[in-house]
Amino acid sequence: MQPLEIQTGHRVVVAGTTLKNHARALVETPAPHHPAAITLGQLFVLCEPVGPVERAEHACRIVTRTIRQTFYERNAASTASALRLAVVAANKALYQDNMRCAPAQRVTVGVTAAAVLGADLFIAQVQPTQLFLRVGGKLRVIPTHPAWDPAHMNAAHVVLTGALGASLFVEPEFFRAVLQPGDAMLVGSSGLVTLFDPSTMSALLAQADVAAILDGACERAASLPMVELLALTVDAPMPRPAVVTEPAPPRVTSQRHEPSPQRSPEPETDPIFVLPAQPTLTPDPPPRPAPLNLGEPLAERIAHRAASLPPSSLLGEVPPPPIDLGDTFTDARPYGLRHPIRPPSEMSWRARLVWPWLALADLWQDWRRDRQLRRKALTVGSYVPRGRGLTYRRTAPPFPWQLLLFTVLIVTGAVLYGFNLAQRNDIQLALEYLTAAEERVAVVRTMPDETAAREALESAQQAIAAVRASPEITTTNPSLWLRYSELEREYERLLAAVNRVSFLEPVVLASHPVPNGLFTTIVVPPVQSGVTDAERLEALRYIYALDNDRDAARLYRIPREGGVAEPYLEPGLTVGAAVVSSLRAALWRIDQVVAIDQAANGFGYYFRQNGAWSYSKLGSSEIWSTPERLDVEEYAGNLYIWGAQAGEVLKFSSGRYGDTPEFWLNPSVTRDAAVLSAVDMAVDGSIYLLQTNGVVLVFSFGQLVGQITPSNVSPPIAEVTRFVITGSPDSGFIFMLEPANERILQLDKRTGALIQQLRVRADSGVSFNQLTALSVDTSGARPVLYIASGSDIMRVELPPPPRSFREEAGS
Amino acid sequence: MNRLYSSLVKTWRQSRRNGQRYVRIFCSLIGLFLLSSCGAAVLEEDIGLGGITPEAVVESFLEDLNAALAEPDLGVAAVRQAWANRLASYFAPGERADQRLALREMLDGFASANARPARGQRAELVITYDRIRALQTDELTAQVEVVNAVITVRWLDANGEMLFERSGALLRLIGREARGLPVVRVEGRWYLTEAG
Repeated sequence: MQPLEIQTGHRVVVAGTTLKNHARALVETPAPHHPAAITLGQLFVLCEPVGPVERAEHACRIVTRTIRQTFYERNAASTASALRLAVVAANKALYQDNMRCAPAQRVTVGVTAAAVLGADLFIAQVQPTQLFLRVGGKLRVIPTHPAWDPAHMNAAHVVLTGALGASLFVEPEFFRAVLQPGDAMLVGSSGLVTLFDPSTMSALLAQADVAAILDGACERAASLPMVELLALTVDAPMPRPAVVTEPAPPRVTSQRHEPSPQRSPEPETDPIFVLPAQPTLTPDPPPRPAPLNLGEPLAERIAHRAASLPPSSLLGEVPPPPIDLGDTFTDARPYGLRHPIRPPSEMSWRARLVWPWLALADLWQDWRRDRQLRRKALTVGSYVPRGRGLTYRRTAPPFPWQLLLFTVLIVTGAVLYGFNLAQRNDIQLALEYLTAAEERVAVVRTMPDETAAREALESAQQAIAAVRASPEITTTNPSLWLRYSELEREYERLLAAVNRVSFLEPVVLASHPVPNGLFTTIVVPPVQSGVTDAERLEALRYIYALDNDRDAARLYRIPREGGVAEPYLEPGLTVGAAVVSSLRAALWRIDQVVAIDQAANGFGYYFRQNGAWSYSKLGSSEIWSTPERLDVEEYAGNLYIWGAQAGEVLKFSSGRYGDTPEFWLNPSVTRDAAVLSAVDMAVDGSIYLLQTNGVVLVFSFGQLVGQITPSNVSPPIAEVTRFVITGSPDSGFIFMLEPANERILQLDKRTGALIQQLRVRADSGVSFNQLTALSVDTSGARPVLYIASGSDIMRVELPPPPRSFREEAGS
Repeated sequence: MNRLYSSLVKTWRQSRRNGQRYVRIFCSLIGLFLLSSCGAAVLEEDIGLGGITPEAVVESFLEDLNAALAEPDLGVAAVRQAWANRLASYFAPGERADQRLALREMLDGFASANARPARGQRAELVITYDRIRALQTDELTAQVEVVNAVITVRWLDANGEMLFERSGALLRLIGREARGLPVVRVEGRWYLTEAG
């Protein structure tokens, strides 16, 4: 293929004067034998300086020189890359030159550099220069100017900050076209475009003469103060002679074309570079490629399109559909927004309330995701040497045992130190409480009378309660615990001395076999010596208790040393001709336990005979009313019954229980309110009736002979329920049960003076709040109490009366 | 496979050596803690109980002395030592060590005599009194009288029946001519003393 004939020319007019010698345009045609002519082609450069006029020429010289050198000497891979490198190098050179000047003296340069290689035209452009290209009869203008495209609103073409020399960074626009004979190109300064319309410019470029194009453009641009022009036309190649004897100079008709530095002023013909003879006509020329269909002309396209077109559309490129850079999120999962933002007015109250928490949850999830995706820094410690064999396996880093141990030791030490500190504080606090309580207890002995001593005791009791609540007062802390024990010991000692309170430590012998069952009566056989009868010995080995089941009360027996309560006589048992009904009373009579039941035909009397139960009906008992509580006592073999008839004590003489009982009380006292309100009876030769306020009525031979009023009891009696008399009629004690105050009162039988109050400590494990029965065994060296409280039967020795810490009155 | 096995064995041995070293360190620390705890326990044997008042310390001492003499396991040396410590804790700090020895000897002698009583199967020694009162009290010392204090010795047979009884005034038996027992106040608490 023959190369196209390129004709070029350039012209610079400043203030109406055509400059002969300037550096604003460059046309460089390498020698045909030079490699650059084969790989890079011809170079055309036009500069449009912006800035001070006196430095414009200098700046353009720097640009054109740098572009020429870089384009041909950097050995770029392609013409386009060579153009880009050349423009970038020129920008850098001009920028460095500008930096050496004052800002007002700096010049920026718009440049259009074109290279023709074969039929290809490569264009690199940095505004504000303007390029008009007529290819295949169609006109392009680069860049598109608003004057030519009213719909084009982009004002970037007037921005001069992108020109060479303004910044170290420049990005030229690149274009490419395929030249054909008849095509033309005009590169000019930016003001030129406003002077032409498309049709005029198309007509101008249709001329085949470069000089005519330049003249036409200059004529139009006469109004401009400065105009730079560079024109190029393409002609069909001229036929060449068959033998070329000497190299023909390039067909460049530039009027002011400066010789290329690579070209020798006296071109010498070197045979080695002379082309061999070429046939002018080939018998079978290859078909020419069909010309590119570039579509409708530019003017029509501009007229049809309202929207802006990219510069590449001038080269025939069909613009792709616009890319929507807006938010393209859809509602479909997983691309939809998790929590779409809507105006508050469109949000429900629930959505408004939930929104902040959802935002926080998203932040948390993002934070966690970032942590998971964060690359760990490569440290020396994270370097894991690969072992031998199976090296493709991932080797875990060694576990930091030393660090773990150190951390554990530190934390353990800190925790222990904290515990120790807290414990010392607690001990100090407990010591202060203890000292305060000791001072209050010590004050009691100095009180002048018992009333003041009781008040001091109450104060001390409160202080002791505070000490007891301290968690440091435990057996694991001996020093505090022993002091506290001594404090309580002294307090109880004083309590015994002032209030005559003795604390019991009873032993539980047995519990009721039925859950929530209660014992109402305890029968304790007296210790007897010299007994040889096996049945009597067997009876003496047990204590007996009656439970409170009103419909099916049983009699239980329990080993003296404690054990399981086993039924001894229970309802439904057939005794002779009788069937045992619910038992109402039990007592010790001479040498055996006896029981009384309440049947439909009256009250029955059960006793042991020959190792088995026997039955005898109590005389006239069928007419007895159904008592709330039937109290049966024995004295000298006689039975005394309280509760069968209101205000009356019935007496069954020994051995005649089947006979009608006699009324023991004198009829004059049976209507007495005090007698009618009695709740319990005791017999020791005289008969004692107990009132709930603790007053005991004493009867002898049916007559009321006196009453015993408890004295010096603190706190006062609220309600006593049962009582027990011990000793002979002229000596001994009265024991009263008062569940309301959780105590047993021991009174002197003659005077009613309080001997002591028997209580249990709060932490003893037993309670006196359900005292139901008491039996006092005085047959031993020291009296022994058998106490029924709740479902338990307990045993405890009667403690000696407490000592007083002050001189007793009258002693 | 052999390489893998050998590397595993090597790693395991290495970790075991490290583990043994750490176990030794832990054991040493635990041992130090235990030693310090033992030291604390030994010191606590010398706790001074005393009393919050002069009367209280005397009364507590006599009650504990009665309880010690009635202790059924008094034949066991450890029990006697515990009671001796307890009784000595009522004495002033400076006399506590001597009193501990004296009380231990007294309990040893009583247990020995009770094992082979002069009469019957066993002896019973009880101190009874009516009440305790302070005769004279000042800031640091006091004299406490045990009113009608009597020490009684009973010899019992195997059934607990008393064979012989002998009693005498407590102060005369212990050799004190003054009416009261001296007590001294140390750091806010009252202690028995022989210095009075």
